Amino acid sequence: MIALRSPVVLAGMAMIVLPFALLSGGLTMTSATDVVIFAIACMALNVLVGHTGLVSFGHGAWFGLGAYAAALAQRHWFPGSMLWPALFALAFLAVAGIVVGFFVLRRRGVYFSLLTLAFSALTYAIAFRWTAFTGGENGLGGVTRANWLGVDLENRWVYYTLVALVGLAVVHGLARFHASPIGSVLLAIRENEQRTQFIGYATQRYRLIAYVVSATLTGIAGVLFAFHHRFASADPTAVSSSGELLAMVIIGGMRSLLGPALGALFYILFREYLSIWTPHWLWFFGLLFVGFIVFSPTGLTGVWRRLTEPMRPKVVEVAAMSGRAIEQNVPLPAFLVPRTHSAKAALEASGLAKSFGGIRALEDASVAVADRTLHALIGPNGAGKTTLFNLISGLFVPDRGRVLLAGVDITGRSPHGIVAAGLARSFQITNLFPALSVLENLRLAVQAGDPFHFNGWTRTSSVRPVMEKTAELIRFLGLSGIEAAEAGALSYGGQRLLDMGLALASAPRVLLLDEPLAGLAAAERERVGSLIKRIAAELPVLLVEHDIDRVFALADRVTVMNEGRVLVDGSVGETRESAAVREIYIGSGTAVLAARPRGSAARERSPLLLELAGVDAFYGKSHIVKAASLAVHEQEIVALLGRNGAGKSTLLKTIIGIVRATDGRVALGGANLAGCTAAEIARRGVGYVPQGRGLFAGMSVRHNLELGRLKRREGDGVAWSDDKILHFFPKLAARLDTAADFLSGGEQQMVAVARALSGHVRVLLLDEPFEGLAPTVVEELFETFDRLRGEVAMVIVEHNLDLVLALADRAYVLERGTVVHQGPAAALREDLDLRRQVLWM
Amino acid sequence: MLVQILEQVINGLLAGAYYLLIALGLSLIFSLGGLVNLAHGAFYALGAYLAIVLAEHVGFAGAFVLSPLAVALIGLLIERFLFRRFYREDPALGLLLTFGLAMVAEQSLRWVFGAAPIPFSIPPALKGQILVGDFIYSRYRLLMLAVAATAVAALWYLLQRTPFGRVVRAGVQNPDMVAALGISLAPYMASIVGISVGLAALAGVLLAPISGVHPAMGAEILTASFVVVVIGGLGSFWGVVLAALIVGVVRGLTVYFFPPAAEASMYVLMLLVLLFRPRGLFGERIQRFE
Amino acid sequence: MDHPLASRRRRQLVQGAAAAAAVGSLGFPAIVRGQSDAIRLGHLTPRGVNLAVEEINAAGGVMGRKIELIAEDSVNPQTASTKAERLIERDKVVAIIGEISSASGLAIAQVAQRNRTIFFNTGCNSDELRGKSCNRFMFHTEAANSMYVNAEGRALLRDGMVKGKKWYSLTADYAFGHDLLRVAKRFMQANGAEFVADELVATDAADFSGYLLKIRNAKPDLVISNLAGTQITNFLKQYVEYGLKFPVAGFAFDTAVAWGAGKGNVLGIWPLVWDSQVNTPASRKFTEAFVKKNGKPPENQAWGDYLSTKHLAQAMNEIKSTDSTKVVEHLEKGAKFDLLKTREGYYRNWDHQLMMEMYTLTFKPPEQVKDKWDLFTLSAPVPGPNESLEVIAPTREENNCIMPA
Repeated sequence: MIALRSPVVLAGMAMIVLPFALLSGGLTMTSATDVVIFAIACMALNVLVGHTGLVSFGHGAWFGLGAYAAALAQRHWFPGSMLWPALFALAFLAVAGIVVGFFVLRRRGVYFSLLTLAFSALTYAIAFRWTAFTGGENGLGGVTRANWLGVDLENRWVYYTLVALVGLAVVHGLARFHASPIGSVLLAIRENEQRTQFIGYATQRYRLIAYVVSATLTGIAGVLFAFHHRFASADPTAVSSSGELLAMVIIGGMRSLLGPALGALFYILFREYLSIWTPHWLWFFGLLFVGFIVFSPTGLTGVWRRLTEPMRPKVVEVAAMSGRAIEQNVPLPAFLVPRTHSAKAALEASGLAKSFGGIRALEDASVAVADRTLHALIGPNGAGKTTLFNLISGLFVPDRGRVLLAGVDITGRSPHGIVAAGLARSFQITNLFPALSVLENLRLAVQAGDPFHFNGWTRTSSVRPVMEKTAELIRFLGLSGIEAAEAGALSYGGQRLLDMGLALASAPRVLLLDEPLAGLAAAERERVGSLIKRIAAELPVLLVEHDIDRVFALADRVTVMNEGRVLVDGSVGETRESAAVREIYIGSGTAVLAARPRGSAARERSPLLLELAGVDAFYGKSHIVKAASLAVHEQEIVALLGRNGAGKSTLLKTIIGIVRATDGRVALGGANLAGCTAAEIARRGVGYVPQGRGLFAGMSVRHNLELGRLKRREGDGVAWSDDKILHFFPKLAARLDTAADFLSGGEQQMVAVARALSGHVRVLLLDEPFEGLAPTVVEELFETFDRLRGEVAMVIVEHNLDLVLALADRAYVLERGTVVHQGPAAALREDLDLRRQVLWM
Repeated sequence: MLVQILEQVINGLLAGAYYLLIALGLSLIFSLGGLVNLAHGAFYALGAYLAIVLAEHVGFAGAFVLSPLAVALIGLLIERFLFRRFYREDPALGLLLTFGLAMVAEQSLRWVFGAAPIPFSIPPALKGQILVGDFIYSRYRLLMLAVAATAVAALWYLLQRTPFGRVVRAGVQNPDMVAALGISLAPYMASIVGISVGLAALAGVLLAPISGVHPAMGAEILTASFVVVVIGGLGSFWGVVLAALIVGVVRGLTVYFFPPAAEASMYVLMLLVLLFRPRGLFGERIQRFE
Repeated sequence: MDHPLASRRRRQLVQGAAAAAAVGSLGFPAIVRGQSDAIRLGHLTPRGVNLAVEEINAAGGVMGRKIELIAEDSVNPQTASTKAERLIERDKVVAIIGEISSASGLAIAQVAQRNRTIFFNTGCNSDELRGKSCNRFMFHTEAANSMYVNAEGRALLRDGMVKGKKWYSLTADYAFGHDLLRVAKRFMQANGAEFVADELVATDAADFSGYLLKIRNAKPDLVISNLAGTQITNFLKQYVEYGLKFPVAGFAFDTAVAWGAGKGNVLGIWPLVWDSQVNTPASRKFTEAFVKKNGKPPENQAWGDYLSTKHLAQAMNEIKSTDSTKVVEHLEKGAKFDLLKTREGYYRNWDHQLMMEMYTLTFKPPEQVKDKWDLFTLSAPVPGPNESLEVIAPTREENNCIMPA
């Protein structure tokens, strides 16, 4: 049964039936041979389109070039021969593929498609017009088939057999290629090219391999085509042919190996039969093609799958973390244990600095990690921790400073070069290959370090060392039992764990972990913490973590950063005692602004304005907000607190409707907002000031404000006139005609707030309104918000606890998307122990 | 000889302006909706054919007004039922969709009007030439240029100086924020598609009297306009304007010095630009298209 | 960048014109269509209903058997080859007629040669197809480029536009244009004209203003067009737009091109293989029947399809056989055929080119134009009544054909 489903057997049977089916349908062997030839070309094209995620609009050129190469070689150098022209074409295609690939692969996405389209057009223009060489419009006729060992290839059945054998070889080869390490890396590139680099692959090289394989095989189909029709011409190189090849791939289905072959069959049958009936067959074909794009981009195989869905037994992969069989205290797998240890610093970053478009993310950061140490990196949001990681791991090149890994300068190396040098990292925002299984995810990373990784033939699953190492790693991580689950289907915690596993799997000499414990349940956090401790016993780990208690419990050494600089670097004890650390972390509780008691406009029995009950929301496949409930009363100010990644911003976006709530109820003034678009919600009176302000660059302040009230002129909330705006923000008077992007950060924030208030607003959502602002500006804004009290209700997300708690009437604390604490803001403001308890976890 | 080169340069500048009406629409649809509209040429062809049909009943002037309006209406329908589904999809899907639409549109014209060109002439009142010194200009083309320039200026005014244009530009930058201000982008997007294809149809009406009106005419002009957009940078108004003029001049000079390469010159130019300035002369980095 | 669907060649003049080709005889695959004893003909890239079949069948068919026409679009060279094979192998057609693209013509010719089945080329002009690529089973009802050039050349000689004159030539930059230019050059050199410029124009050029400025500055005695298909339409419209006064002549033309440009947008002297103005009884009859059926007069392409079908039927009736080899032998012996022209013609035995009279045309002043089909007047036939028909055809030296066995 398994053998029957293998693509080679399927293809073989199909190719045996094909000629008889077509002959009995009134077509000829020529059509049967065409079907197989186009099937080869389409499967070859699909190496790029379906497997690597590169949509080439120019593969007709390769098809045509293959035909020309063979025809010209036979005419000029090897008269009468078939083998030599074919071999020549093969060599020519491979070389040309490398050259062209080098240029077109410089771009991605649409630009790649456009470049390949231009390549096809250029090839056509040359082939069509260079009459002396290519025969131009007349084509190159007179191609002959050879006689091999008494077998006359002029015979149609013989030639069909030859083409079918080549087809079979291609299916077999591609099946192996896709299952091989190189094939698996191509899938990884399609799924997540960035992460592929960060587990140690030079993706550009793999994309080139995919391109050359695809181009060469398409060209081989062209060679067969030339011998089949006994001539070569310019038509196949035209963009229209490239489009037709793509159409065949799409119609057949690009998510399976044989899908494109099915598309080729469909296309030829469609063309043959329909063009018999009507010269307008292209009209019908176009319509059908559009139909597929709109209704079934996964093609015929997708349609088939949907039709047979109810009939197939459902294979349910256990994706729940509860499906795991966890063993306690599994030692670090041997292949991850470094063979030598050094007394010197394993990783030394010094004086690193980085700016992004004028904003300094990192001013001057140095950190040295000793061997076999768990080194924690902590600091408030925006301190530059992740930027530091990004500079060390090669995501960005630092403006200044350098990074030494075991004494070797790795500054400015590519990410995969840095992995090869022995440094691997995990990501704060989960960064996996979502459509691949847990096993495949980890195997990819393990395989990168194996000498055999650059192999396009052997099945990865048959390579014992890689499989064994992967299995050991899965056991170590405690992911046994859910190996086959799709990474994208895992819970957030499972994804975090897998993300860490990916970094660990490349057997690094130094491991960088960015918040590996975030989103894990308490027991799980305990277990993974000890896992990290065990890792750190063998190799140095640099860990970013918000859970400070756990950091203090686990770490050997701590570096505290603030505002792009290192604040404190020392032992756990030193850090714990540092007043500076305490101040930046939990605030002093005595900030000047917070000192003055603020009145509350919200009366005891103010009516309920905004209500969230059991709201769920997803960001992509990540379940960010879980059963969150929250209430805001008229004229109340609510603070929304929680660690990085707790889901605060997403919750605000769910309220305004940019992120759709998948479950639960959001109501404004009693009216359910379910099914409303963001625009409708905004018109009903929700104002939104996003993190980063979201001003429209290139437009003046006046015009930004204009857009704010354009569609929110009516309603029963606050609507600020220009006079009122200038009354609150007198600074803006002189700036009304200045482009928003030329304003200072504080002025931008004022415009953003004013813009939100310029239309009718009943509740204002503010996301990190004080972020990155100078103290005087913070004070000005703070006073403004204070004066707004009584005009409009507010929900504020802010990491400066002193400030926000001074403003707020009530506070909610969010943890992993769920509300874990709510109560009067005053309690958290004054009781630092309570604050520690609910916010430090 | 220098005088003749100058003549070609000026003529090239004028000729470049003809691509503009189509290129600007292409660029607008791309930057706002993320759709590379390979079917844009079809609307141009439709404009030309409709003009011929309409001119029999309402004369050239009537066709000049009605044909673009009718095509804009068709554009609105296509936007509503097809394009709209693809704004947030993988741009490659949009490319394939419009490739298919172009195929259907061209074949429809073939089916209804036949493959051979159908005749259409410059209205007698607009015929003639104007001599400036030793240079010759076609009166009709100068008028055409004036219409094109007016349309481009109007479009610029609409985008830069009206609230409508500001919503559109804001939508290009940050559609979520626009929505969060209570503005639903859908009608704006539909209008942009309507305006864009209407402009393409206008170009079709204008060019019909001086070039062959046949089903593949859309494909002919699309390729050149597309090159203009890519050179100028997807999404950049002035980039497209500049690129149209550059393409016109380069083509004019190639006609003068090496005519066989006249059409190829713009493709070579495009390849060079793409290799060295991948986002075109003034193109902005738009993450989702990378 | 070539657009997906662009095909800016002569082929685009005809593709799909066969909208509602003869229902009933329009093909079904052999299996679907019951076996009958009709004689089947394959027709690739048809340009309208083929009246010949109706007339032949009405007149009793061939040897008492009906003719059945299987008409299909040839799409592109490879598909043309596939379809030709299918028509011959599965549908057992006795001959294939049609085609306009030289590449598809060559592809069909190769299939025809291998299967020893006759192919009548009714639309490809290239000399190469008659010379280097000739074969025993391919016959050319369409005139060769040389014949167009020589017919046109004689008109130019008559008007004194050749000797010592400066020609400015524009040539479509692809095989068709290259072939035409080669033949035109030969004529020019033999007769003492000279090129002031000889420029290749890409097939996707739609704007000719740059070329027109150059022509205006070059002040030639004659502007020569070796352009093709809709390019000629574009060129003529813009030439008129710029009001240039130099005489224009071309070496290739299709009636559809003139119709596509329309009244007031056309000028010059052009060659033509046939037009409905040819005033012979057979020609009038054909024209009347065609107008009745299609509502417009037949143009030169429809003439070719009609004629070759008639010739084939006549030959088979004469030798009482549908065997291709016998038909070839019969034709090679110089069988005479009516061409809807004043003189009868024959297929020359060494290159299978139909020897026939040609015409040139000049356009009427707009005020004399009666309807949109009535744009030009036809010259007297070339060669003259007392000359051999072969004087305008390529000689063996110019375009030798060695038939493969």
